[in-house]
Amino acid sequence: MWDLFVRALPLLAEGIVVTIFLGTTSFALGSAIGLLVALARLSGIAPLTAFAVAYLSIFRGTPMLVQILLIYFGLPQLGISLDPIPSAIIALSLGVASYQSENFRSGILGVEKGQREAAFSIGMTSWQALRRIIFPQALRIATPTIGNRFIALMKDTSLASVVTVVELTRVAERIGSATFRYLEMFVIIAAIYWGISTVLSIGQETLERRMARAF
Amino acid sequence: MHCTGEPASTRSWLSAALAAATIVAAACGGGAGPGASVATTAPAGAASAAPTETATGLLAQVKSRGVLRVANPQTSPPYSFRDEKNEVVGFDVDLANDLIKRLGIPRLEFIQGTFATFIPGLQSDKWDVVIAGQAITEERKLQVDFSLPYRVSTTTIFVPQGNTSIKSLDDLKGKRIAVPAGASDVKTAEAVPNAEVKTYENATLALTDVGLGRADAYLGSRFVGLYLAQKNGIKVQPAPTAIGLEENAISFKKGETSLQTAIDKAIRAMAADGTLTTISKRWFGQSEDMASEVKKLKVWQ
Repeated sequence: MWDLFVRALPLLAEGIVVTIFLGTTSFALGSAIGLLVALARLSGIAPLTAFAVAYLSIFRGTPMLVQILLIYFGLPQLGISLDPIPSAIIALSLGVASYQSENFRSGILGVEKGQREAAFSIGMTSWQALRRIIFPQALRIATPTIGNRFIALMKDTSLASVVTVVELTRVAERIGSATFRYLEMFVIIAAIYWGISTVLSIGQETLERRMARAF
Repeated sequence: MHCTGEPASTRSWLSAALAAATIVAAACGGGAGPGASVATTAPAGAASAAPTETATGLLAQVKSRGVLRVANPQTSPPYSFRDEKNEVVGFDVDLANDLIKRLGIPRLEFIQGTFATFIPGLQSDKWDVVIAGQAITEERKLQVDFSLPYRVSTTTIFVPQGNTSIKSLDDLKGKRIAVPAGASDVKTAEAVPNAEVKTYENATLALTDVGLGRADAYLGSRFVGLYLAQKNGIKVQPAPTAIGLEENAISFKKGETSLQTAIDKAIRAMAADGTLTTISKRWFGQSEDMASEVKKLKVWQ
C-alpha cells in the first residue's frame, strides 16, 4: 500500500486541501445562515417563522447528495450555471444550516427563562439581552452538537465528488480507476478522514472544557 | 453558455435529471446487499446447453449455484441501461445472456455497480464477473484478469457544436477536459499538460457539461458520445481525428483459469457464429460489425 500512497501523495495533498476548504467554508457560511434561520424561527413574527419552518423542512428533509446534484446540474436549466466548488459550497452550506439552526434554537431555548427576564428588568433591550445574556449561554449549551455537526460536515464534503470537485474521495476513485486498487485507496482516504475528524474532536473537547468553566 | 432551442433544452434537462437520478440509484444500490438493484433473467433454452468440460474454482462454484452474478453500470447506454419497462438491456446485456448459454449456466443476475465498486466487488465475491466494457491496461491487469476483448472503441474528443479550434490532444493543453469517472480516458486526459481533468458519474453528465460550456472537451468512446448526444439533444460534436483505440473486456478475479478459458472460448465462438455481429448491429446500427473489429486485434490472432 505504501507504493500506492507515495504515488497518490501529490493528488491526495490537493484533495486534503480541497476537503478542508469545503468543510470549513461551508461550516462558517452554514452556521451564519443557521443562526439567522433560528432567530427567524424564534422571532414570533409569523412570516419569518413560516420561512424558517419551510427552510428546515426542505433542507433537512432532502439528501445533501440530491441538493448538490440539483444545484450543479439542475440550475443551468434555469440559466444559472455555477462552477463545481461554488455549487458544492452552496449546497453544503444550505444543508448544514438547517441542522445548525436547530442546534442554535435548542441552545437558545435551553437558557433559563429567568435570565431573559432579569436582563429586561435591568433595562436591556431585547437585542442587548440576546447578545450579552442569552447568546453566550446558548453557545455553551449548543457546543457539543455544533461540534458534532462540524465533524459530520467534514465527511459530507465527499458528496462534492459527484459534481467534479477533486476532493479526497474523488482522488481515491481517480487513482483507483487507473490502478484498479480501489480498496487500498479507500483505506488510505478513510485514514485521512479519520485523522481530520480526530483533530476536530480534540478541538471540540478542548472547547467544551473551556466552556465548562464558570464565567 | 446555456441551452437554447426549446425541444433540445427540454430534452437535455430531462436527460441530465435522469442521469443525475441514476447516480443516486447507483450510490444507494452499489452493493449486492439488501436493497441493491438486482435483475434476474432466465433465457429460454439455457438449460439445454450442457457443460462440456469439468469446471474448477469459480466456474465450478457458479455452475453449482446455477447463477452467474454480473455487475454492470445500468446507466451506460447502449451497453447496459434500463429501458422504459425498467428492464436491463443493451449490448453488454445481450452478450451476458449469450455467454451463460455457452457456459451452461441456467440463470443470470445483474447487479448494479459503479466503476468505483466493480473491482472491490470482484475481490470480495459480491459478483463473479464485470461486463462493463472495462478497458484493458497493463496496470489494471495486476489486479484482475481480463477476457479476450469483446468490443473495441475509438476514443474521440467531443467539443461544443461549432468549435473548430480543438482537433487533437495537443489542442487540449490548459483546457478543461470532461471524462466519466473510472474510465481509462482519465489517464489520457491527465497526461495533457496543464489540463484540468473533470470526472463525472457517467458519460451523459460529462457531455452535458461540455454542452453547457463548463468543460471544453469530452474524451471518450466516439460511439457512446454520438449516441448520447443524439439521444439527449446535447450540443456537442466529435473532433475530426480519433485519438486511440480501446480494447474492452470482461473482468474477473485473478487466477480463475478455468473461468477465463471458458469465457474466452465463448467469446471466440460468438465472433465465429455471427452472434457478436448480430448484437452489434442491434445496438450500434447496421453498419457496425464488432466481430470483424475484434478479430483485427493482436490478442485475437
